[in-house]
Amino acid sequence: MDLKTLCEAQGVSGREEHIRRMVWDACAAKLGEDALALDGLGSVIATRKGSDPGKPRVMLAAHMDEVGLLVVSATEDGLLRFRALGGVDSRVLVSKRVRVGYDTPEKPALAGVIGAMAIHQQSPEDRKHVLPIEQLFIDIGAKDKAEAERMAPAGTLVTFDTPYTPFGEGLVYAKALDDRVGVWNLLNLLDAPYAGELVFAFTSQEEVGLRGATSAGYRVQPDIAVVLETTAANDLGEIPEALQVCRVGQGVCVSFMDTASLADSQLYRTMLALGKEKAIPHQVKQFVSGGNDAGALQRAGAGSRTVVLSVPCRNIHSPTSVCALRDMAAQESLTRAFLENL
Amino acid sequence: MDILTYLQGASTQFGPSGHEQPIAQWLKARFEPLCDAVTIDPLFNVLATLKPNTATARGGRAPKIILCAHMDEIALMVTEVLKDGALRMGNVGGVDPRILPAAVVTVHATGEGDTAVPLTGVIGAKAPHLLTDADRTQNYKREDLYIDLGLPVETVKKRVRVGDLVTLTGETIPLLNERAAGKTMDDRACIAVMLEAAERLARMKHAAEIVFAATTQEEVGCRGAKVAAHTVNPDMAIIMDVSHAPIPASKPDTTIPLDAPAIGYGPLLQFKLVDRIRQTAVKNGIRLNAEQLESRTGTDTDTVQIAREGIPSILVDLPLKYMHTTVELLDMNALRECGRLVALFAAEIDEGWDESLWI
Amino acid sequence: MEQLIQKLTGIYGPSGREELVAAEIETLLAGKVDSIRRDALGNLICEKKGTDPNGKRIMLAAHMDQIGLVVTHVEKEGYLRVSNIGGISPANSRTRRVKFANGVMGVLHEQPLKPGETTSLRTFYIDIGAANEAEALSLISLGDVAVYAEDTFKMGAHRLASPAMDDRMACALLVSILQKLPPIKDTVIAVFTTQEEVGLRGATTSAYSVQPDVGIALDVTLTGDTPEERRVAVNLGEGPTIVVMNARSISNPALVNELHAAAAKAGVAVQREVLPFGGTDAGAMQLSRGGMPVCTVSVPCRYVHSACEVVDMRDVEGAEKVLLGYLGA
Repeated sequence: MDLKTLCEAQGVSGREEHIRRMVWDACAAKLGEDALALDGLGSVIATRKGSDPGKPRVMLAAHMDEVGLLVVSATEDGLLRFRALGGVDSRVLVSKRVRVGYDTPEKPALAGVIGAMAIHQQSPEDRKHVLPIEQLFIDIGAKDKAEAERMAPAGTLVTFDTPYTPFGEGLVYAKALDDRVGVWNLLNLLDAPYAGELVFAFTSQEEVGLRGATSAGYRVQPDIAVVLETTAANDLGEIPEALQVCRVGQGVCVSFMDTASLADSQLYRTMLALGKEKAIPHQVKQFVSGGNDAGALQRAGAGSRTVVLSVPCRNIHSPTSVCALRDMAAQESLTRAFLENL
Repeated sequence: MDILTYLQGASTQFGPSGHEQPIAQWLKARFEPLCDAVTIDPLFNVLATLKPNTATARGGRAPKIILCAHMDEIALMVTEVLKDGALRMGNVGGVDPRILPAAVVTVHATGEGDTAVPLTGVIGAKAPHLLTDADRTQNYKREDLYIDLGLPVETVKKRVRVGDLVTLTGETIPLLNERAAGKTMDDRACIAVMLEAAERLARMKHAAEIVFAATTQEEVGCRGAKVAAHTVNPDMAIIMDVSHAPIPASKPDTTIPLDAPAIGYGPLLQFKLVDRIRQTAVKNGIRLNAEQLESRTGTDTDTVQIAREGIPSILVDLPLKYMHTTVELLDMNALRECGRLVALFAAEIDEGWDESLWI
Repeated sequence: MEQLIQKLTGIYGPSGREELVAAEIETLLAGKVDSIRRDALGNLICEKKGTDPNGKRIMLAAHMDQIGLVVTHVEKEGYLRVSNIGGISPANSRTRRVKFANGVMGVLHEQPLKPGETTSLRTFYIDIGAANEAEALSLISLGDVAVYAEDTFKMGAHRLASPAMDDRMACALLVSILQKLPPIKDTVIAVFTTQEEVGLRGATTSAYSVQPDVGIALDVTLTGDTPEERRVAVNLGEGPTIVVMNARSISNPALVNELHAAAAKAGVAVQREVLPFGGTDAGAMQLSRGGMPVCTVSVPCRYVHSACEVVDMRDVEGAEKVLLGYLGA
């Protein structure tokens, strides 16, 4: 399974079925169908039994879902009104290409564009204002309301249409790097050497409130959970260093806390020490923002010790998020090193 | 069941969030003739179980479905007894402060014993003669509103304590075209939907075990439903709550028509079950509108869905105008159709219902 | 009790770093309870078995963590930029002494605001006396946490001020209750919880594993008896409060009445509390598994979430009598 395929597949929160299929098949090929289970929210739980019961039960987790858009109605002239599903900044949407509906062999996704009033027709006042999502429309070329409603009824899901593209020196841009990078690394780690029980949790619905991880955490109740994520980098231009959060290309991010969880202080220190010892590029996430599945995993059932390893990502939740391949490799290496030393 | 009689009875029962024992007892008595077992849990949720009345298709374990609608009502609470005997109040749930000036309320006073004594009060409003132009453009802030019990200050101090509950008043009345208006239609009208469904299911074959959960503390964060779902441990959840019907000031895409049930779409609502209940509606000639919920739903779904190992959930909406007032208005035909839809859907659920739910 | 409070408020323990507080409490309770264990989130769970095998399991929760400031960045000049852990108020944070786990001391200060800039922790920094980034990083690391360092001191005849009164006062109260508690029919599980200030996290996991029948949180609450402060009708020195409702839980009405009855029997005046914001561990306990009746007993405290949180010892002692009475001691 390559990252390009994972990123280009469609999988908005609550509708992760395409990603789930890929993950399921990839895990089944390595671990066998018997090792796999689905929970009540559609998370895929792959369990690799351990040979040493003295070792802690470890969960590695990454979320399958991405942010997207949801069609709510059509206008008289056939444009689609929509809302954001997950955290999408309406400023990134104008003049972007989208795929309307899910691509299936029976019914391919429709092409759509998000248009706006031409700059020539804007007043100086217009140019200053952010266009709220209620004033943006998806155009699929429909002639009228009836056609629009037939082709893309209310409830139709929309994803960004960005081909996965390597650029610059070792960077890629794509949609849904958050968190297909984590999913990809989890698949890369299916054969990671570890003598204890190892559970791979591919969670659903992270972007709408860490929901899949809540159920998956309750089901598995691991001793330790390591969350493989992406995190927002704000490292270009004249941003004061204190507000950059992390830097793309400088290694995997270890977080001491975010808005959803405080890292287990011992695990946090272990990760930093391992990064240093094994010369794996790493950095400390230098801002308290965002929240991820660790918040839910830590508090499920009687609780787990958690830590988060994130790949820095510019323009996260946008059609063109940017990550560095070496940071992704560092995320995998540090996780592997952690398991080897546990 | 006569819907209007039920609504009129239910709306007079005491049940602010966290203090639902009286309405819970009243509801328990209504579910008992229709169900096999009815219990009240530590958070006062009423859990009424209807056992399967037919074997499953392959003789295996019967699926378990929870149906949820909440019984708690929004209310006020005394936060301070002022020097002149006026009462300052806080919210229990999201009371709209605009409905309060000049409202008649009942203060459930416990100063002379733990059993509450109802006292009638009115909420003060400044006379129009005394208002400045600035006053007229602004709503009252809660801090500037007081309850007047018409009693001398010593009596008030003796009879009323901080923490005493204050409920809104107003009878439920029938209107034209099978419509009715009153307080606590949110969400006791949806408990009528459950009673309607229970009556129907008793006459239908159903392979699933069905638990009707009349839940508590929804208005303060869907708390009752969270523990009810844990206790019941169902395979599937159907949540019923009210949603906004249009009024002239409504924004586009934020309402559903008053005269028919609607089904919720969104990330929290299991998409294959949504498709399935739509088919149930089509097969049985039930008009079913749709509501788009791109994130949390603000209903018991939000906590039920993530109980234990996750519960595939759907949300059935009963349209309602003027939510969180004492004149919440609904269409009783839409309510009956909700009950019919939910009963038909639950009766369809048999062993194997969850095959190809996710993959 | 006063000495116990002095001792516990003096220990370093922001949310997520409660180990030192837990270690001290474990020492204080050695031999007083039947079992002591810690869970994945660091909660200290102390169980004292009841004499009646059919007795209830009563969980009493007091949180060990205090609010703090986590280092997110070190400037070239050696100043530390911070973010809050829990409800740090910028207004209460100007030019404060702070300390780190390893004893490093510093001054928390707010830089001059630019026109149009509003105060927030982004405009604060900690000066630890380092001349540059390298020296600062030799003293502390990113992710290290500072807490207000003011000492505990007495005020007037009955009052005590300290940065960590919220909620070490209640930890002391709970330790004292366990030290005095004779054999009773119910099992008491005293949980010294973690991460309360960041969202009742420790109580969530500990209530799940403890599986109590009843939960009571011990905490501090705000007062409305200082100049121009009108948010709550609670006065310092007029007795502990029994919480009817706060933003995270509505107390079980019968349990509220039982606590009132215990107070009346013990001759302790109590206040009734309705707090439109804030929450206590009761909020987490109530929603654990199949749910349980909960309540909070609070001690009024002025200037909550500041370096000088003030309680009145008579309220603390009153709370102890009410709780011992409730337990049937």
